[in-house]
Amino acid sequence: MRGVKIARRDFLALGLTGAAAAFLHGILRREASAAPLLRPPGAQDEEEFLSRCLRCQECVRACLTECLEPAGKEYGAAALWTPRLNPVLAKCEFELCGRACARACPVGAIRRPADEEVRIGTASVNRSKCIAWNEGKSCLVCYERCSYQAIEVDSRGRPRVVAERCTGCGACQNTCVTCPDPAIVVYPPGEIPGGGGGKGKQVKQN
Amino acid sequence: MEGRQRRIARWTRRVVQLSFLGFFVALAWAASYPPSGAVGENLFLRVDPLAAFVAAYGSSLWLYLLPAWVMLGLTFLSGRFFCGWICPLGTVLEIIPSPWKRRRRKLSGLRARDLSGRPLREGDRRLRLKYLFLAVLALLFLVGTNLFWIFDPLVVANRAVVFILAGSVPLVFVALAVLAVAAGPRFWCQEMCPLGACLSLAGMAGSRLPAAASPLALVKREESCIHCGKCALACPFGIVEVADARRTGRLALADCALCGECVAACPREGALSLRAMGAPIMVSRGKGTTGEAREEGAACAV
Repeated sequence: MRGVKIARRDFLALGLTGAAAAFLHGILRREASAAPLLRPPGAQDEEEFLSRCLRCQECVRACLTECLEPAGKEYGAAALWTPRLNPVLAKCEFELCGRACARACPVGAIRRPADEEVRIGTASVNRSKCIAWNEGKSCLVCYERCSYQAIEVDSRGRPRVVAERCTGCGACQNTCVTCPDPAIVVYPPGEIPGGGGGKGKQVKQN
Repeated sequence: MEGRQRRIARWTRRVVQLSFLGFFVALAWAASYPPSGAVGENLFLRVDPLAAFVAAYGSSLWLYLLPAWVMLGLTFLSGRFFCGWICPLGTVLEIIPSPWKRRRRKLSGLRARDLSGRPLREGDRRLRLKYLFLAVLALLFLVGTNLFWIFDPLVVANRAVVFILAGSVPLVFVALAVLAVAAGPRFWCQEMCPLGACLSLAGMAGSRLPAAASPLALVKREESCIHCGKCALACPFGIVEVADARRTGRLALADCALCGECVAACPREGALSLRAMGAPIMVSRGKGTTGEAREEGAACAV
């Protein structure tokens, strides 16, 4: 009699746990495609990254320039506290730091590809915000700050991003004079830059 | 004499716990740039078999995860010593003041009533819920949803340190602390912790090993036991099997964290002892007579 009772209770617990798990799974799956965010250099592709990352904050802690921060709830429950590369904080110095974030990751969610293969994202100029495009002023700050010659300037001093050379390090976004609302912004790989007059550059580098 | 020895032994565990907690916090602190390159500041996370599972699944990081294999090996030999002596989250939860102690006495008092009954032999069934929980988490991971980041104690603790250093609130950690106050310091460890479940399983795999082969073992001498049930009452992990008359020799109990509280509570000389490779390091002392516990402990070391 007693055994039956306990078995029923176990069964109930199993059912409840299963239901709760399915519920959480559903929520996290649905929210996995919330706002796009930049990942540390060498991060695995988003789905793989999310399924590995333990949100332990070792990479955030290890970063040389402190350009990483835990993603807030505005990026969805699935991405909560995952490392977000925020160029407004600092640019990513992946060629100088020895990939501190990848070394710190205990689960290999961040890999260490060669420097030339790093594509954190691609910068894109929002022409309606850029003072060179919008107000005809001579600025050139992003052009001068870029280490990869990924920004070209036309005869009137207006910047364009050469997507093939851009690594997404965020130096341009970090330094843009229209801060706190930078006119040049790094978008994650595969995300087509939206807004402004900046026609979406081809962004399908690996 | 023996009283002092006992006190030192209990105190020792707390010192060891706090030392590891300090080491853990120091590593999280030192994880800022530049990396030391020596131990690896993520050592605790690499010691964690759950993190190892997450890292190794479908990848080739087996060697990098050596610390996790060492951890599983030691647990195979000793049981969940990690939970009682090392786990930084467990230490913090244990230290948090909780009104639970009074409640525990009442709760365990009920259990102690049927000292020869079936529940005693089988243990508290609620403690098995964590295996279910671990199985669900593992299953979810295999279908692509990783929830270990919410429930892995070392991840929670690591994030808590980093968040506190950064001046923000570690929500999961706070939730577990509240749980500890509401339901008892080791409620999480015994009934939910997926890492604890994993280590319990590893410990059970090695439960047949003799005490002499185990770096840390709880040993019971049945002939000295008077079945008073004080060990079961004292256990912070809610284990009642320790009082079971049918168990003797090395008590390789799935949920035992080798903390030695039962040894300290035992009123019979040498009935319970903690042993390292068979040598007693903590032996229960008699209340009335003193001085013989050590010899008696040595006598049954074989």
